[in-house]
Amino acid sequence: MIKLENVTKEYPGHSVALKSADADIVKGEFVFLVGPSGSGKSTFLRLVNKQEDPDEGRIFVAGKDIGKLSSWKVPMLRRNIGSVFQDFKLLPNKTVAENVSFALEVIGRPRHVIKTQVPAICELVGLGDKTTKYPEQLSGGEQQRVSIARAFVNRPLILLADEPTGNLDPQTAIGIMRLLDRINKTGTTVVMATHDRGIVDTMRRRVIELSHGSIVRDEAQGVYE
Amino acid sequence: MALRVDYIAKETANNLIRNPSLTIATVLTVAVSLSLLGAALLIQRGVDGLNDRFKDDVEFIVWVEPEASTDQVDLVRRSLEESSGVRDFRFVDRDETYAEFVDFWEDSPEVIEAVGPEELPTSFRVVPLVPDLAVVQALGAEFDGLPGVLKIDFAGEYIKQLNEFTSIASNIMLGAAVASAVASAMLMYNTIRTALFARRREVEVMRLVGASNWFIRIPFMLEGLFQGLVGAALSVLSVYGLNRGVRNLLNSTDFRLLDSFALDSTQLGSIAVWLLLCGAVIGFVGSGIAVSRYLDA
Repeated sequence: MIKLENVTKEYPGHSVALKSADADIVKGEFVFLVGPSGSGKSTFLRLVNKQEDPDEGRIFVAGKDIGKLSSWKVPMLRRNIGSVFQDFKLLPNKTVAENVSFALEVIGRPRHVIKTQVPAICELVGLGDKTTKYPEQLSGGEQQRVSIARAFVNRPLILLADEPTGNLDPQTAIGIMRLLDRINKTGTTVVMATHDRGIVDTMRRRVIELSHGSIVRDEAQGVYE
Repeated sequence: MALRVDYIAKETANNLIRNPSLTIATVLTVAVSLSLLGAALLIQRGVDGLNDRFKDDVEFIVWVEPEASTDQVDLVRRSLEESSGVRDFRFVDRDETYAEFVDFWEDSPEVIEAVGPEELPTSFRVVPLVPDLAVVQALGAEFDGLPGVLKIDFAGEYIKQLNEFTSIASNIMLGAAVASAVASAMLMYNTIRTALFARRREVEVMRLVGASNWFIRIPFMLEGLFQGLVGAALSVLSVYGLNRGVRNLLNSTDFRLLDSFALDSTQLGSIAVWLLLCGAVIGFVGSGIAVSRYLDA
């Protein structure tokens, strides 16, 4: 589903963000990217949905070399990849339902689809009774659930999560992980960057460890260290 | 992909009212620059009209001294009849000249009282065969030396001077119009950039969930287009007002020579179309550069 071949990415003036990285993630996998800040986890994710382009190497998503994708086709790629962030990136002037429907509106989905999909996905993430609330009226965990609903409402093949539990207390984080696990069980490939040792050690999924831009470990059912 | 019209209309309207002072400033700048352009076009059309008219009834006037004898007047008349360059001429006698004089000075009875018909010169209004200023001037000079001739007046001489003056004036205005059009396109660019900044969260989310580039751009470009068109519409109003003022001014005098400077509705309509087109271009170029610089990163 996601394949990196000898990928290198450098930011001018900074050290190498990703160095000759190789990885092959198959459909339906749940993968943790671990490593300290600045080890290249976020760059890995940003390369997969083409927010960045590699300096060297090739990246395949669903069998297609995304380096050869013309710029007007990039939106089509991103419709198949949901993104979740540490800071949620919710729109403060929109309600929960509006934040979720926004993701469908802007890709031109018809209204009747939005009408049925949005309440269903809000129910799925456990916010069925809070659809008319604004983000500031919600707890951090609830806000992250909205952001996951928005990322998943279009049923993407891949879900990228960049430190989704970074701003949450451990109890709330467990709830978010259960939700991501449920989404993974529907067949969606999940790649999650984290440095939450407890979560990684509890879930026992595939772990790819990065250090100074290099992949130093890749093991199935791994632990944080 | 189907673009949702209601969504785009809503977003465009939101952009326009989000920052009213900037929207108004942009619209007014466009209006001022296009008004200048409109005024320059008005003058140019006026000069064109004047030249067309001049080509149709170009004439010169041979003024005869008031004291000239009948023989002298007859000599001038014969010379005109025999001249190969003259197509037609008409003698304006003392009574007709006096009537014109009274008409011209009707607001100043003291002038009319002070001058009697016998003090006014008579004249020949001459229509030459070739309506070219140089030819007409050479032709007129033939009659200058005849006895009893006071002087020769060329309508073309005034028109030539007027032409020079108005073309300088309209070129200056055109220059100012171009400079302020550039300024308004730059202001447009900054207005749209501000709108993009105000909506950067939405834009970021739209890009992440895979909204197409045009879907993100269109509301911003329409915002620019709308501001450009509203500014152009204001400038059309000011050009119509200016033209009405010129017409009233011309109607209040008996000076018919400059009548072509008051344009008819067809000419005004074509200027209006040009102004609206320029407003649309300013809006599209300004906003287009802004969105491509800030969205194609």
